[in-house]
Amino acid sequence: MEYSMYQPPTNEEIQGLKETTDLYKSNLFKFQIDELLSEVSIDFSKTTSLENILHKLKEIFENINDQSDLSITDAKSMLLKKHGITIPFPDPQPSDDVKYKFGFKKPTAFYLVGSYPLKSVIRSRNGFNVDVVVIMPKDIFQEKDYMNYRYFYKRAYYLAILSATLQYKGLALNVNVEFGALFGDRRRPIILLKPLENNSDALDFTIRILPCIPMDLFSTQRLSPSRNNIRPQHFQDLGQIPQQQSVDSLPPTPQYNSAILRDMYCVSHLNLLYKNSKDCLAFNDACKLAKVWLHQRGIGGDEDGWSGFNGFVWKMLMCYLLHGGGVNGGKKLANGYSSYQLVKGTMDFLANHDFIRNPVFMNKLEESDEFSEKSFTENFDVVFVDNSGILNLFCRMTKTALEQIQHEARIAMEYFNENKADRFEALFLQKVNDIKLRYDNVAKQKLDYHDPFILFARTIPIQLKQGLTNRVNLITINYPQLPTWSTSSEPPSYSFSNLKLYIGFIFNPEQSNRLIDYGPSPEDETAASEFRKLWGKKAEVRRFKDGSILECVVWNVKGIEERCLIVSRIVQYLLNLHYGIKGKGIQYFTGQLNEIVIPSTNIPKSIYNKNGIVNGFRDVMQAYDKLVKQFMALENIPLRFSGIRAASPALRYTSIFIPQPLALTTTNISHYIDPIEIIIQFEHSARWPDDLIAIQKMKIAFYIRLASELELQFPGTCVTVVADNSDTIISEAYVDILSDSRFTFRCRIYNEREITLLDRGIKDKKSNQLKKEMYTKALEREKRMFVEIPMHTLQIQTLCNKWPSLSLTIRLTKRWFSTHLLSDHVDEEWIECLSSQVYLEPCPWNRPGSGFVGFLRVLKLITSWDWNNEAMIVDLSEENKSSLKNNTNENNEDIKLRFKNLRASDGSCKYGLMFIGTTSGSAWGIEKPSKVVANRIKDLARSALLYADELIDKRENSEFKRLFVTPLSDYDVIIHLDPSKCTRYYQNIFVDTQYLAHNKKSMSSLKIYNIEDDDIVMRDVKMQDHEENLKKEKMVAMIGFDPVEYYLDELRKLYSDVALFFHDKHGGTIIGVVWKPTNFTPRPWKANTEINSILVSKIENLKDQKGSEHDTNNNNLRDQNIVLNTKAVVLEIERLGEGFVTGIEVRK
Amino acid sequence: MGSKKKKNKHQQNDKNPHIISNSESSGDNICGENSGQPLEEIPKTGFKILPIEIESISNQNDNLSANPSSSIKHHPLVSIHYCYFKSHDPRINTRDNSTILPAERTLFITNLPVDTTEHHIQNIFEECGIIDRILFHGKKKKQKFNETAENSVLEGSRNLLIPGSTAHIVFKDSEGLTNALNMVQKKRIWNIRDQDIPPLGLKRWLQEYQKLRTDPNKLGAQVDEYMRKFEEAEQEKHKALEARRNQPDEDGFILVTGTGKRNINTDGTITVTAVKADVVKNLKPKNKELVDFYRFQMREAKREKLAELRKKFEDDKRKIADLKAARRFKPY
Repeated sequence: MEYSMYQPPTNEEIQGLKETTDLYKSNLFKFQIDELLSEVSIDFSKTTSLENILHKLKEIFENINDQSDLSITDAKSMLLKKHGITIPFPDPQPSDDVKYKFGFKKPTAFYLVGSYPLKSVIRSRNGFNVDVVVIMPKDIFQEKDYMNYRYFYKRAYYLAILSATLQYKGLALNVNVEFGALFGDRRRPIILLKPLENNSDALDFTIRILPCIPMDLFSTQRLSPSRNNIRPQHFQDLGQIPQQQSVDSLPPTPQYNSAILRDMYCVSHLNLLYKNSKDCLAFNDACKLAKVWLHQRGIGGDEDGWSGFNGFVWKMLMCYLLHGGGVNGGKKLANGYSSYQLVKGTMDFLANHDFIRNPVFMNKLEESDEFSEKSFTENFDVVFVDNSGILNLFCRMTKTALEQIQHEARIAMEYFNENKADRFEALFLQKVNDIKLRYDNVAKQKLDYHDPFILFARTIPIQLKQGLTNRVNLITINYPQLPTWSTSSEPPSYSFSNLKLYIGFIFNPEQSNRLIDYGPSPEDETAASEFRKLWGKKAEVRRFKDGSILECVVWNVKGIEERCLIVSRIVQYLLNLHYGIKGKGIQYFTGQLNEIVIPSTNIPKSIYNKNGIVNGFRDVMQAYDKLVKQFMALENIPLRFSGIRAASPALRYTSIFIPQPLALTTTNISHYIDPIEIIIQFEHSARWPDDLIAIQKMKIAFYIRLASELELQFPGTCVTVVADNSDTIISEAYVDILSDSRFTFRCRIYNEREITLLDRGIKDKKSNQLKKEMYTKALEREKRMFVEIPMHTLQIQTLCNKWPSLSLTIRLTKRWFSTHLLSDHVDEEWIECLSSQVYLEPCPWNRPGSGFVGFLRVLKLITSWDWNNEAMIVDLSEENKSSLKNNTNENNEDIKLRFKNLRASDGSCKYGLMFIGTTSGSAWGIEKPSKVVANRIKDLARSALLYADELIDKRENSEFKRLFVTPLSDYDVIIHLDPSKCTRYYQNIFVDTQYLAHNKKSMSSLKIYNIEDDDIVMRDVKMQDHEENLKKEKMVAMIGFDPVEYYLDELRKLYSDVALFFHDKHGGTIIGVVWKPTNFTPRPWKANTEINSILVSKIENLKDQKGSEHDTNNNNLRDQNIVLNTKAVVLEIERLGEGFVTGIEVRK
Repeated sequence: MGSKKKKNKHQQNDKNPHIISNSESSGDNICGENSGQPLEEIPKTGFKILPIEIESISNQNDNLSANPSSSIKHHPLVSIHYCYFKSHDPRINTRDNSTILPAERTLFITNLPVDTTEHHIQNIFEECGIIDRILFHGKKKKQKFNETAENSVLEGSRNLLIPGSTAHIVFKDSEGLTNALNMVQKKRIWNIRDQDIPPLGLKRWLQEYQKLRTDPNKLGAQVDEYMRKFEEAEQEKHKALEARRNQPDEDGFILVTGTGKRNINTDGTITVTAVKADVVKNLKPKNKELVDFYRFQMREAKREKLAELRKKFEDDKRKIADLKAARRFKPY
């Protein structure tokens, strides 16, 4: 291989190779496009059953009988009685005394239209549609039928007769006949034919029958956008066209007019598209790609009642661009373009063209006033006029919808233009249309309105935008199309359809949490009154620091969690004020999870002071800065400090709870005080010994010195030296500092010399295997603690400052992991990397703007990432973005290589099951989670997402807390702990304050063993006299004392071979135990098994104690086999937790 | 034994562990079924099976029942632990000096409960004779480095054994061993309360927590003492080295050793390490020679470029194959 690399090349080879490199991205892209197209395309060799039905349809339509004209009542009763069909008349229903007759004559023609005959059809999640146009004969209509719904009533009757025929002959067709509304427009019902499910392997298709009319049936002038065709008196006095009012003064009915025009121009559009697809070779492939893209974004399908956009409109847009739309009147696209270029070009136009200012005309009827640009722009939100110059193809599109489509198109363009990553997956393969993941905030509203199009899609977003200003980048409206209905039932309407409408918001993270909305000066009267009209009572006049007096709205909040809710408060306030939508009328999803990261209000203030969280993490950061300054000013220390680094979640905005200063007056030991880890480093000195154990001792000497000097020089500080003082290469020692700002810090000394010595010990050829292992482990630990975690802290700190909602995302995610008893099975840093990835690589969406959506996206990432085969590369320092050089690629390759090696060396998949590598060189998720736990994480995330869907889609009363309740059914044994002795119990998600009171009592009355002169002096530490004695407090405030942690530590040391232990370290009161299945495979007895064993025969003895005959032969064989003696182990576990365990539940 | 109040409970119904029978009548069956008969043996091993009855502590601590949550007590209230023993076989462990473990009065016991202390063993074997000493072999090589803490402040807390631990019990005289080997089946219970046994559970953890926060003065003194000894040892080493340096060896050569302190390992040897590969990679080129001056250089460059192109092509092909294999093209 290596040799052949240098062989002399042939000319063709050079040519080929060059192309590969020059078109590298697009070549790979092209390949992926080919694969995708073959995946979504229809197999045209399998269409026989479809073709059969189409042929039969043709036959049926050709042989259909004309009907005599009927009055409306006769028509209704005939269809209902004879065929059981309710005519799908649109609202308003025609009255029974209309004078005109309803007739039916054989269709003059019918055509296959849409994507199917063009061969640009794709499979979607709901199969695909085959559209059949039936041209209704002219002579059943009258000249004035375009007025007052007459056309639509007759069309509905015609459709009903067709469906009656199809139903009757349907036995042969083997299809199910239903009605539907084309584009959700009830004026234009259609027939849907779905094959009955007896041929399962066949294609999943629906035939849609669309009644249309010839292009010259009505005068197009009459149907121009500015005309009115529904007279107000129509409803009172049907058939009588009023004379008393001038027709011109009536409001235009552009939507109504377009609905008729669309029926007229159906066939002409087909011809245009057919011609273009013949001229441009890649036209169809480009259409397919675009449709996949649209489908993934929920545009143009059944779930889309809001956009007014679909694959057909995309095609028309492409036609337009093939003949124009470029710079200086040139063509934007060319016939010779590849599918990729066509899609990219069209997308570019869609993303960046200003449709509002420059409406698009495929054909402009210059000479006509009726179809002038003005006439269109005045009557439609968005304008894209077809090749006839008469019909606005964007007639159902609102400005809000346009914004959303353009927003998606802009993201797509970013992906197309990105050089460093291949975004194929985000563009075409990922489902974007997931309400809970797509928007930063979502509000749900039951569709209780006749037509949501008018009220919601057009007015509400505009009003909201006025109030939200630059807090949000995008407001979207999503609602589905009307569902189909059976021919016998009344047509549905939006009011009774039980459909839901979602308002989605995408935030501008810099502004979304703003506390004040500034208005105009009160002197500017028109603007001020408008402002007051918008805000109602909320508007007030204030004088600001710079002296200006302005109208404004002020939002009062407590704490950073509440700040995230300002947008929701504005939305709810405005909807209530202007539309009277309040309370249960609207459900807003955003802050429901916040309570998860705030300790319950019932907790005594002495334990966690909720008022203190107003400042968020600022207090702890200030306390840290102060401590750093104190260190730097510290005198009488033999070496100078060279650096102090933060190494704790509390100092990178990611601790679940916002750290609070210790309450001053109470000296209770009953609750857990979380020490904040910091690392100090001294300037380089040659005087450190060259011996690891001696270094440990020297460090202790430094700790002692630090403690006394800190207490001396900064009164109010108390410092405790903690050291096990063992003669080991790495011993556990640090100082706990209760600073004068009442925060507790745990401070460790980092000495680079240790790392050097450990490294040397590993590389030393004379070291034996045991020593090497020991040193490697120690080195890993040291590096993690002193190098990687401080660096990680800095990086996460930066990211959290940059994207404010990241902090909440991480805190929610951590809480989720810990409430599911996974605290000790994943590293906090791993969770932080995982959560950051959602912000660093947000595709196919925007970067999350709220903790709510951030958290759900983390869950989504857990379930969708291919953990088994791919290393997740997290670019915490954002090197890939910033650096121009390509060494980042190298960096990524390094991580991939590391992961590959890990996988290769580990056949049984024990390590790195959820591997995350950072570009700065650290790797997480190697030792844990284990395989079992990794699978559990995925399962839990999957069901959490399903539950979130259910909450958002279906439930009226959402109980989000349940996302944080873990199922216990999978545990073999559950150890119940005494909540009053769990020092962290106050952090429990369902805390019961009864135990907290109890907690205080039971812990403070505990005899604490105070070791002095090797005599155990029993001391009762009931602090009756609350004198501010620091010495006493130092002893009483048990920083970092968590008995559960000790217990678990012991259990893991003893039983890690036989069982897994699960616990929520944030106040959990149970420990879940799962036996490893290998324990129950009998194995031969040995003197040294390292498990607590029982002879299999003994178990059987116990089982059939009541006298069943022993099969001695069998027994002999099995006499020597043993398994784990689970019952004895359970009792051992209980003894180890004496005074702490209240009960052990054996479940399996 | 009868001095202690005991409730003989045991689990009758294995299919449903949540129902626990308190019936007194069947209780004795667990250990006492064949009361009086010699202990069972594991066939072909010579090991005797010693069943020990273990009672849940919540059975004994009636005060716990005052706690509201103690109503959850689904676990087996009584269970049997099985130890196995036989007389010590000196051949197995040749390293052991027969004076430490004299074969005629040493018993080898295995599968001890993790909380075993000398007191527990005394309690079980006092019927056989006076025990001279007990040697636990709890710690195995798999124990992690920082757990074999020597000289730690935590000394004095209770040592836990790993599951399935072994021990040698040396009796005062050989009669003890004989008696032990002839033990009969009867009810033996594990749980004992003794002020001398260091506590487990919450008390133990509190104790440890306090011990780690010992008086800084005392700690300081210990550290100073260690460092003094350490310095002395260093001095010694240094002197020895110094002495060796000026001594010619038998061939009359004088070994020249460095005096630099920094490059010496903990054991006094010197290691030479190569420069790390990635350090070299990142070094700036020192001399800026012309790379396209000679024809051969240009030829080389072309060759390299071709090779790179080929490599990239191969890479692409592989990537595509990988993606295809992972079936990454299903949009829904």
